[in-house]
Amino acid sequence: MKTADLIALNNEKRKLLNDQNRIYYEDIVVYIRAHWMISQQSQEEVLMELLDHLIEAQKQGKQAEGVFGKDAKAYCDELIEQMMKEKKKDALIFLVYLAFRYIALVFSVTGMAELVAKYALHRSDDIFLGKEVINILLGFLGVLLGVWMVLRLVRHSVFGPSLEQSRKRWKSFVHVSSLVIAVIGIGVVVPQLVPPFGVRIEGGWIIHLLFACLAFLISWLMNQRFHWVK
Amino acid sequence: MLMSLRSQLLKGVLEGCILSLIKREPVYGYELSMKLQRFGLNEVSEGSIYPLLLRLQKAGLIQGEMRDSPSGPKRKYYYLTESGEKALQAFKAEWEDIRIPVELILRREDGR
Repeated sequence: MKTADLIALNNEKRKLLNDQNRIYYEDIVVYIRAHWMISQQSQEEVLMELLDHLIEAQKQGKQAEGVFGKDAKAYCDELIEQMMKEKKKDALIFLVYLAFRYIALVFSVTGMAELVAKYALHRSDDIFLGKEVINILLGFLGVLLGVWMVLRLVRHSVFGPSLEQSRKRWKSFVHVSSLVIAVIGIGVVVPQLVPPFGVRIEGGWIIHLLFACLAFLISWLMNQRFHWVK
Repeated sequence: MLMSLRSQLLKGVLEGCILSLIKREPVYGYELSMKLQRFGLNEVSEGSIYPLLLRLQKAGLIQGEMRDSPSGPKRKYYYLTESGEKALQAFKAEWEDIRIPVELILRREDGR
Protein backbone atom coordinates (compact mmCIF):
# COMPACT_ATOMS: atom_id res chain seq x y z
CA MET A 1 0.00 0.00 0.00
CA LYS A 2 1.23 3.49 -0.86
CA THR A 3 2.21 5.85 1.94
CA ALA A 4 -0.52 8.37 1.11
CA ASP A 5 -3.18 5.61 1.22
CA LEU A 6 -1.90 4.38 4.58
CA ILE A 7 -2.11 7.92 5.98
CA ALA A 8 -5.67 8.36 4.72
CA LEU A 9 -6.70 4.99 6.16
CA ASN A 10 -5.02 5.86 9.45
CA ASN A 11 -7.01 9.09 9.70
CA GLU A 12 -10.20 7.15 9.06
CA LYS A 13 -9.53 4.25 11.46
CA ARG A 14 -8.33 6.53 14.26
CA LYS A 15 -11.93 7.63 14.76
CA LEU A 16 -12.68 4.18 16.23
CA LEU A 17 -10.52 4.90 19.29
CA ASN A 18 -12.00 6.26 22.49
CA ASP A 19 -10.74 9.64 23.72
CA GLN A 20 -8.12 8.32 26.12
CA ASN A 21 -6.62 5.87 23.66
CA ARG A 22 -6.75 8.38 20.83
CA ILE A 23 -4.77 10.97 22.79
CA TYR A 24 -2.15 8.37 23.67
CA TYR A 25 -1.95 7.10 20.09
CA GLU A 26 -1.85 10.52 18.43
CA ASP A 27 1.19 11.49 20.49
CA ILE A 28 2.89 8.40 19.09
CA VAL A 29 1.89 9.38 15.55
CA VAL A 30 3.24 12.92 15.88
CA TYR A 31 6.46 11.76 17.51
CA ILE A 32 7.25 9.06 14.97
CA ARG A 33 6.36 11.19 11.95
CA ALA A 34 8.64 13.95 13.23
CA HIS A 35 11.64 11.67 12.63
CA TRP A 36 12.30 12.71 9.03
CA MET A 37 15.32 10.46 8.53
CA ILE A 38 13.14 7.36 8.94
CA SER A 39 11.52 6.04 5.76
CA GLN A 40 7.96 7.33 5.57
CA GLN A 41 6.63 4.02 4.30
CA SER A 42 8.20 2.23 7.25
CA GLN A 43 6.71 4.82 9.64
CA GLU A 44 3.21 4.49 8.28
CA GLU A 45 3.27 0.69 8.20
CA VAL A 46 4.23 0.52 11.86
CA LEU A 47 1.72 3.20 12.85
CA MET A 48 -1.02 1.23 11.09
CA GLU A 49 -0.02 -1.98 12.90
CA LEU A 50 -0.08 -0.22 16.27
CA LEU A 51 -3.47 1.31 15.46
CA ASP A 52 -4.95 -2.04 14.41
CA HIS A 53 -3.61 -3.58 17.59
CA LEU A 54 -4.99 -0.81 19.78
CA ILE A 55 -8.44 -1.06 18.15
CA GLU A 56 -8.53 -4.81 18.84
CA ALA A 57 -7.28 -4.30 22.40
CA GLN A 58 -9.89 -1.60 23.00
CA LYS A 59 -12.61 -4.08 22.05
CA GLN A 60 -11.31 -6.25 24.90
CA GLY A 61 -11.59 -3.27 27.24
CA LYS A 62 -7.84 -2.61 27.41
CA GLN A 63 -6.12 0.77 27.69
CA ALA A 64 -3.26 1.98 25.48
CA GLU A 65 -1.01 2.28 28.53
CA GLY A 66 -1.47 -1.39 29.24
CA VAL A 67 -0.64 -2.34 25.67
CA PHE A 68 2.35 -0.10 24.90
CA GLY A 69 3.50 0.77 28.42
CA LYS A 70 3.42 3.88 30.57
CA ASP A 71 6.45 5.45 28.92
CA ALA A 72 5.29 6.07 25.34
CA LYS A 73 8.44 7.97 24.40
CA ALA A 74 10.74 5.13 25.45
CA TYR A 75 8.54 2.71 23.52
CA CYS A 76 8.69 4.88 20.37
CA ASP A 77 12.46 5.26 20.66
CA GLU A 78 12.73 1.48 20.74
CA LEU A 79 10.65 1.25 17.55
CA ILE A 80 12.56 4.04 15.80
CA GLU A 81 15.88 2.38 16.54
CA GLN A 82 14.73 -0.61 14.48
CA MET A 83 13.03 1.21 11.61
CA MET A 84 14.38 1.50 8.08
CA LYS A 85 16.33 4.66 7.44
CA GLU A 86 15.30 6.72 4.42
CA LYS A 87 17.52 6.04 1.43
CA LYS A 88 19.73 9.05 0.60
CA LYS A 89 18.42 9.15 -2.97
CA ASP A 90 14.77 9.19 -1.85
CA ALA A 91 15.46 11.94 0.65
CA LEU A 92 17.19 13.99 -2.05
CA ILE A 93 14.28 13.62 -4.49
CA PHE A 94 11.90 14.74 -1.76
CA LEU A 95 14.08 17.81 -1.12
CA VAL A 96 13.92 18.70 -4.81
CA TYR A 97 10.15 18.36 -4.64
CA LEU A 98 10.03 20.71 -1.63
CA ALA A 99 12.25 23.15 -3.51
CA PHE A 100 9.85 23.31 -6.47
CA ARG A 101 6.89 23.64 -4.13
CA TYR A 102 8.61 26.53 -2.40
CA ILE A 103 9.55 28.25 -5.68
CA ALA A 104 5.97 27.90 -6.95
CA LEU A 105 4.60 29.52 -3.80
CA VAL A 106 7.10 32.38 -3.59
CA PHE A 107 6.97 33.25 -7.29
CA SER A 108 3.21 33.25 -7.52
CA VAL A 109 3.06 35.70 -4.59
CA THR A 110 5.88 37.97 -5.82
CA GLY A 111 4.55 37.79 -9.39
CA MET A 112 1.11 39.00 -8.29
CA ALA A 113 2.62 41.70 -6.06
CA GLU A 114 4.77 42.96 -8.92
CA LEU A 115 1.81 43.00 -11.27
CA VAL A 116 -0.08 45.22 -8.84
CA ALA A 117 3.02 47.35 -8.14
CA LYS A 118 3.66 47.90 -11.82
CA TYR A 119 0.18 48.89 -12.98
CA ALA A 120 -1.27 50.39 -9.82
CA LEU A 121 1.81 52.05 -8.36
CA HIS A 122 3.82 52.40 -11.59
CA ARG A 123 6.91 50.83 -10.06
CA SER A 124 9.61 49.08 -12.02
CA ASP A 125 9.42 45.27 -11.90
CA ASP A 126 12.76 44.60 -13.56
CA ILE A 127 14.64 41.65 -12.11
CA PHE A 128 18.32 40.79 -12.01
CA LEU A 129 19.14 37.18 -12.71
CA GLY A 130 22.10 36.90 -10.31
CA LYS A 131 20.18 38.32 -7.37
CA GLU A 132 17.19 36.11 -8.22
CA VAL A 133 19.22 32.90 -8.09
CA ILE A 134 20.90 33.83 -4.80
CA ASN A 135 17.55 34.75 -3.25
CA ILE A 136 15.92 31.48 -4.30
CA LEU A 137 18.77 29.50 -2.77
CA LEU A 138 18.65 31.55 0.43
CA GLY A 139 14.88 31.19 0.67
CA PHE A 140 15.12 27.45 0.20
CA LEU A 141 17.81 27.21 2.85
CA GLY A 142 15.57 29.19 5.21
CA VAL A 143 12.64 26.84 4.57
CA LEU A 144 14.74 23.73 5.16
CA LEU A 145 16.12 25.17 8.37
CA GLY A 146 12.60 26.10 9.48
CA VAL A 147 11.20 22.62 8.76
CA TRP A 148 14.13 20.98 10.52
CA MET A 149 13.66 23.27 13.50
CA VAL A 150 9.94 22.60 13.83
CA LEU A 151 10.41 18.82 13.59
CA ARG A 152 13.15 18.96 16.19
CA LEU A 153 10.92 20.97 18.48
CA VAL A 154 8.07 18.46 18.03
CA ARG A 155 10.35 15.53 18.84
CA HIS A 156 11.43 17.21 22.04
CA SER A 157 8.07 18.43 23.23
CA VAL A 158 5.36 15.96 22.19
CA PHE A 159 5.44 13.84 25.35
CA GLY A 160 5.78 16.83 27.65
CA PRO A 161 8.89 17.75 29.59
CA SER A 162 9.91 15.63 32.53
CA LEU A 163 10.95 17.41 35.73
CA GLU A 164 14.60 17.24 34.81
CA GLN A 165 13.98 18.49 31.30
CA SER A 166 11.86 21.41 32.42
CA ARG A 167 14.86 22.79 34.32
CA LYS A 168 16.55 22.99 30.97
CA ARG A 169 13.62 24.83 29.49
CA TRP A 170 15.28 28.23 29.36
CA LYS A 171 18.09 26.59 27.43
CA SER A 172 15.76 25.24 24.75
CA PHE A 173 14.01 28.61 24.67
CA VAL A 174 17.32 30.27 23.78
CA HIS A 175 17.95 27.56 21.19
CA VAL A 176 14.58 28.01 19.54
CA SER A 177 14.70 31.81 19.50
CA SER A 178 18.14 31.90 17.96
CA LEU A 179 17.00 29.45 15.28
CA VAL A 180 13.91 31.51 14.49
CA ILE A 181 16.12 34.57 14.09
CA ALA A 182 18.48 32.60 11.85
CA VAL A 183 15.61 31.33 9.64
CA ILE A 184 14.06 34.78 9.22
CA GLY A 185 17.50 36.27 8.67
CA ILE A 186 18.46 33.82 5.95
CA GLY A 187 15.08 33.65 4.23
CA VAL A 188 13.93 37.26 4.45
CA VAL A 189 16.52 39.78 5.65
CA VAL A 190 19.65 38.69 3.79
CA PRO A 191 17.90 38.60 0.37
CA GLN A 192 17.03 42.31 0.83
CA LEU A 193 20.70 43.09 1.29
CA VAL A 194 21.89 41.26 -1.83
CA PRO A 195 22.83 43.94 -4.36
CA PRO A 196 21.23 43.63 -7.82
CA PHE A 197 23.62 41.94 -10.22
CA GLY A 198 23.51 39.70 -13.28
CA VAL A 199 21.43 40.01 -16.45
CA ARG A 200 18.63 42.57 -16.18
CA ILE A 201 15.21 41.30 -17.31
CA GLU A 202 12.24 43.60 -17.87
CA GLY A 203 8.71 42.52 -17.02
CA GLY A 204 9.57 40.53 -13.90
CA TRP A 205 5.97 39.67 -13.04
CA ILE A 206 5.40 37.60 -16.17
CA ILE A 207 8.66 35.73 -15.64
CA HIS A 208 7.83 35.07 -12.00
CA LEU A 209 4.32 33.81 -12.74
CA LEU A 210 5.63 31.62 -15.55
CA PHE A 211 8.26 30.14 -13.25
CA ALA A 212 5.60 29.60 -10.61
CA CYS A 213 3.43 27.65 -13.06
CA LEU A 214 6.39 25.62 -14.26
CA ALA A 215 7.57 24.82 -10.73
CA PHE A 216 4.04 23.86 -9.71
CA LEU A 217 3.70 21.59 -12.75
CA ILE A 218 7.00 19.84 -12.01
CA SER A 219 6.14 19.32 -8.33
CA TRP A 220 2.70 18.02 -9.35
CA LEU A 221 4.25 15.54 -11.79
CA MET A 222 6.73 14.42 -9.14
CA ASN A 223 3.91 13.77 -6.70
CA GLN A 224 2.02 11.80 -9.36
CA ARG A 225 5.06 9.59 -9.62
CA PHE A 226 5.99 9.22 -5.93
CA HIS A 227 2.66 9.80 -4.10
CA TRP A 228 3.92 11.79 -1.11
CA VAL A 229 0.69 13.67 -0.59
CA LYS A 230 -2.87 12.96 -1.65
CA MET B 1 23.95 -4.42 34.23
CA LEU B 2 21.99 -7.30 35.70
CA MET B 3 18.73 -5.85 34.40
CA SER B 4 20.16 -5.39 30.95
CA LEU B 5 21.42 -8.99 30.88
CA ARG B 6 17.99 -10.15 31.97
CA SER B 7 16.18 -8.12 29.34
CA GLN B 8 18.68 -9.22 26.69
CA LEU B 9 18.02 -12.83 27.59
CA LEU B 10 14.26 -12.31 27.52
CA LYS B 11 14.45 -10.57 24.16
CA GLY B 12 16.48 -13.40 22.67
CA VAL B 13 14.06 -16.02 23.98
CA LEU B 14 11.07 -14.01 22.80
CA GLU B 15 12.54 -13.67 19.32
CA GLY B 16 13.01 -17.42 19.16
CA CYS B 17 9.38 -17.95 20.19
CA ILE B 18 8.17 -15.44 17.60
CA LEU B 19 10.11 -17.17 14.83
CA SER B 20 8.67 -20.51 15.89
CA LEU B 21 5.08 -19.21 15.94
CA ILE B 22 5.48 -17.54 12.54
CA LYS B 23 6.89 -20.77 11.12
CA ARG B 24 3.69 -22.62 12.04
CA GLU B 25 1.59 -20.14 10.12
CA PRO B 26 1.87 -16.51 8.97
CA VAL B 27 0.41 -14.16 11.58
CA TYR B 28 -0.28 -10.46 12.04
CA GLY B 29 0.79 -8.45 15.08
CA TYR B 30 -2.27 -8.71 17.29
CA GLU B 31 -2.71 -12.40 16.53
CA LEU B 32 0.92 -13.04 17.45
CA SER B 33 0.66 -11.28 20.81
CA MET B 34 -2.50 -13.26 21.64
CA LYS B 35 -0.73 -16.51 20.80
CA LEU B 36 2.22 -15.65 23.05
CA GLN B 37 -0.19 -14.94 25.88
CA ARG B 38 -2.13 -18.12 25.29
CA PHE B 39 1.11 -20.05 25.76
CA GLY B 40 1.49 -18.35 29.13
CA LEU B 41 3.86 -15.49 28.36
CA ASN B 42 1.57 -13.04 30.15
CA GLU B 43 4.40 -10.97 31.55
CA VAL B 44 5.35 -9.81 28.08
CA SER B 45 3.52 -6.55 27.39
CA GLU B 46 1.60 -6.76 24.12
CA GLY B 47 3.31 -3.83 22.46
CA SER B 48 6.80 -5.16 23.01
CA ILE B 49 6.50 -7.52 20.04
CA TYR B 50 6.60 -4.63 17.53
CA PRO B 51 10.20 -3.50 18.10
CA LEU B 52 11.16 -7.18 17.89
CA LEU B 53 9.21 -7.69 14.66
CA LEU B 54 10.98 -4.67 13.18
CA ARG B 55 14.35 -6.02 14.22
CA LEU B 56 13.64 -9.46 12.77
CA GLN B 57 12.48 -7.80 9.54
CA LYS B 58 15.61 -5.67 9.34
CA ALA B 59 17.74 -8.78 9.87
CA GLY B 60 15.85 -10.44 7.00
CA LEU B 61 14.55 -13.29 9.18
CA ILE B 62 10.89 -12.48 8.55
CA GLN B 63 8.99 -10.61 5.87
CA GLY B 64 5.81 -8.61 6.11
CA GLU B 65 3.08 -8.51 3.49
CA MET B 66 -0.26 -6.72 3.41
CA ARG B 67 -3.03 -9.25 2.96
CA ASP B 68 -6.78 -9.47 3.54
CA SER B 69 -7.58 -10.94 6.94
CA PRO B 70 -10.56 -13.22 7.66
CA SER B 71 -12.07 -10.47 9.83
CA GLY B 72 -12.05 -8.03 6.92
CA PRO B 73 -9.41 -5.29 6.90
CA LYS B 74 -5.99 -5.64 5.28
CA ARG B 75 -3.32 -6.63 7.79
CA LYS B 76 0.41 -7.03 7.70
CA TYR B 77 1.12 -10.75 7.86
CA TYR B 78 4.59 -12.01 8.70
CA TYR B 79 6.30 -14.93 6.96
CA LEU B 80 9.50 -16.76 7.83
CA THR B 81 12.30 -16.30 5.28
CA GLU B 82 14.96 -18.85 4.49
CA SER B 83 17.48 -17.19 6.81
CA GLY B 84 14.70 -17.00 9.40
CA GLU B 85 14.39 -20.75 9.17
CA LYS B 86 18.12 -21.13 9.78
CA ALA B 87 18.01 -18.68 12.69
CA LEU B 88 15.17 -20.68 14.25
CA GLN B 89 17.19 -23.92 14.02
CA ALA B 90 20.18 -22.15 15.58
CA PHE B 91 17.98 -20.79 18.37
CA LYS B 92 16.58 -24.24 19.12
CA ALA B 93 20.09 -25.68 19.41
CA GLU B 94 21.23 -22.82 21.66
CA TRP B 95 18.13 -23.13 23.80
CA GLU B 96 18.79 -26.83 24.40
CA ASP B 97 22.38 -26.01 25.36
CA ILE B 98 21.11 -23.62 28.03
CA ARG B 99 17.94 -25.38 29.13
CA ILE B 100 19.49 -28.68 30.18
CA PRO B 101 22.30 -27.34 32.41
CA VAL B 102 20.00 -24.70 33.93
CA GLU B 103 17.39 -27.31 34.81
CA LEU B 104 20.06 -29.55 36.29
CA ILE B 105 21.37 -26.74 38.47
CA LEU B 106 17.93 -25.75 39.69
CA ARG B 107 16.95 -29.35 40.47
CA ARG B 108 20.11 -29.91 42.56
CA GLU B 109 19.23 -26.85 44.59
CA ASP B 110 15.79 -28.28 45.33
CA GLY B 111 17.21 -31.61 46.45
CA ARG B 112 19.63 -30.10 48.94
